[in-house]
Amino acid sequence: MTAALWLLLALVLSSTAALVVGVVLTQQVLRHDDDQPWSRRIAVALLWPWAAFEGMRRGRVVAPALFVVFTLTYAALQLAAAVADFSA
Amino acid sequence: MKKLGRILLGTLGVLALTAFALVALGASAWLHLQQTVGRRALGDAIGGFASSQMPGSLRVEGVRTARLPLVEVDRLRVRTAGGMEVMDLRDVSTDLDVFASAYHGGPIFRRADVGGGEISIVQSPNGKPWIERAFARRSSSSSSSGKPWWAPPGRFVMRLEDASYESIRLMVEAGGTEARLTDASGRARIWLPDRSDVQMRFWGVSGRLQTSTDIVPTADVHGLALTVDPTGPSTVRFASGLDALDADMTVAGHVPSRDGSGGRMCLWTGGAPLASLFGVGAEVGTSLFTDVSFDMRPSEAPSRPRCREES
Repeated sequence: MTAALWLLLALVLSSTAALVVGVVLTQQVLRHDDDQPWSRRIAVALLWPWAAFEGMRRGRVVAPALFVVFTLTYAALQLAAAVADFSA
Repeated sequence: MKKLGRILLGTLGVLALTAFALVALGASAWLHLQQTVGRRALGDAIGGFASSQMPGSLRVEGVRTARLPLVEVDRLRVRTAGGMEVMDLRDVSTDLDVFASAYHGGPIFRRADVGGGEISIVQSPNGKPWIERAFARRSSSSSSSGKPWWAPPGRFVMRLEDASYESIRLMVEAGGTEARLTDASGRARIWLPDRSDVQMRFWGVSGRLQTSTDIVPTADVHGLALTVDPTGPSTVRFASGLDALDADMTVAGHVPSRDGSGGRMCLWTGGAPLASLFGVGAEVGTSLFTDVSFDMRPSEAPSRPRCREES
């Protein structure tokens, strides 16, 4: 497999993993937010970094950490794709 | 009961999350294919997979669009194992049938538009065109004991079902006879089933023809039909209309496979000069690859010309 193929695979897997972990994280945070206003609940559901922060604030470790790791990995891979010359 | 309900709910949740993950994976792959790295990866994947399944190599250069099924590339090149270039197509826009390709184990293109390039159909020493030796691959069910070293076992299928092109250069060379068609436009189909034969068919072709024969050195071609089919006694069969020798002609012929008899070309003309001599027209048969011999007899210009084997 060429470098472009490996990079594409890594981008797809890291973005999908971040997406899935984000959904799980949001569900974990919102499960205990029945007393919160709807605006705040919608904002947490849409802004996953906020959901990660709320999760960490409530003592959760694994899901927020995974979300941060996958998101940072995806960002680094996008940077690498932008720097590398794949135009040929 | 409550516990069973929670187990069921948990299972449903896992299934829903799995389904979501699969959908997210597909959407992510489709989106990232639009990026530069994705387009480059698609070109590498198509070229790499095809090259690993055939004796020669297939290279895709400059993927401009990767919105499956639509794929647009700047250049597509095919070479034999020895490095001889047999196909060089430019500005190719094609529809890749992803599901059919996965099912058949090779790329299936439903449609293609080719802006230009060159296809070389040159006979190799073993009688088959080099372009077939670039693609040919024996199936695992082949009973041949003397399998050549360039034919790894396995199954590889490739189909290009309907390609339209303009400004293609088509070169045919067999047994010392050369024919070159430039600025060719028309339609084509390429089939490589899971055996060692590649079939190519060109039809509705127009262009400028140059040959190494004395009879028709140059001519404008219209309505050319050319078939490359190693499964039959003749590897290459052709029929076309020609504007040559100040007359409107029809020519047909065939180039044999290695074990076949000599090739033959027949020429029909209903043009004014000969029509007055023979009535309706004349049939001129000449053998390829041997001394030229003429066989002139009056005949009607056939609507579907067939050039019979020598008796």
